[in-house]
Amino acid sequence: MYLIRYLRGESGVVIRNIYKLFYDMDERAIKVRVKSMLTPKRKLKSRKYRRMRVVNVAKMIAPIVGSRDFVNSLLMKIDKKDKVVLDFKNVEFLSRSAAHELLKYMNMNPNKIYLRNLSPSVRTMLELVESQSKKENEGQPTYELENHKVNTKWIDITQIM
Amino acid sequence: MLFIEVYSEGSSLFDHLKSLYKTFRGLRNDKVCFDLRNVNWLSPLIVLPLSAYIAETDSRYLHPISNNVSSYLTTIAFPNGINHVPSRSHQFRSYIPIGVLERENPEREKLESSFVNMVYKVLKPTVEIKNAISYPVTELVDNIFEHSKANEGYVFAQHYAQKKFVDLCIVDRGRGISASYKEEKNLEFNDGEAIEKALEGLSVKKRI
Repeated sequence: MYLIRYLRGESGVVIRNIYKLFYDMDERAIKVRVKSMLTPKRKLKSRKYRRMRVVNVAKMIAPIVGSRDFVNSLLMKIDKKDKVVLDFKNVEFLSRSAAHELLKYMNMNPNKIYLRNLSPSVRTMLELVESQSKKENEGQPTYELENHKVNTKWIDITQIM
Repeated sequence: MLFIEVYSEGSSLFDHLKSLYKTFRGLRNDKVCFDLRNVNWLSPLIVLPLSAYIAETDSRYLHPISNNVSSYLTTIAFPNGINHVPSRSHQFRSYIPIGVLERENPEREKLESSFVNMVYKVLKPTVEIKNAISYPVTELVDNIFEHSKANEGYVFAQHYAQKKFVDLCIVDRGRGISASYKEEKNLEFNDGEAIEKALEGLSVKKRI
């Protein structure tokens, strides 16, 4: 562990040699560490997010988020000036109204709120609502289920963190 | 003060609707004393509207003579309900006590979650079915605050293990669908027509 830490910043070749030296140790653990050291850009991005306050939505609000007012409830509990990461771990469902309110707030306050650990159903709801909003604003017919690829403005930072 | 005897006959949905109609026919916001002395059983469909009416009009009721019914009403927090999440032990019983969802109360979401979890517990659904359950329930509850203009909504769930079903009841004492069309879109419908229009998808919502 100390050796690998000491060698941080060295070239990938050196690290790979060290990895070979430790082949009889827990290979998986070392591989993960080596991999993370080989992606410095990603690491920097991650540090940026780590400085932000993480809000566990399931704990602070509920595992099923149904109400439009949930954004207000969140804002009451956090400093409005802070950049916040909303962690949707264990959130099973996000209603259409709640998703709409969240996206509306995020559009009005860009780069203030980041999302992570979105379950497939929460992600789909956000995409659906964003798609519907766009189409309604453009005067197009609303969302078609089979064709819902959306270029969302928000990003899921689960992989980055 | 008006005096109304509450009847509870039969166990079919039609019987419950009949009891509901007989109890609330012609009532607006009158102060009432509901006589529950002779009821042998009360379904959620009658319990929850009674609870909402009593709470909002400062009405009263006479306790049932039957000990079973009386203790059941106490257990489910009739008529005042609860406005916070039940303790952990409550969450695994066969009911969610009468819940008062308040517009400004941050605990509202958790209460609503418990309500939906009661359904999950019974149906043990897949993720897709969970969504199919959560969607209408959250929409119905959200509509209370978005459309009815009421500041409080009431929810109650009872699981009947032997009959293998869950009774879910959601009630508000807001302006009603007909008034909503009138005030938001200046459309004149009676209550029946308004319900039909709502089912057809006529919305008063402004475009998002």
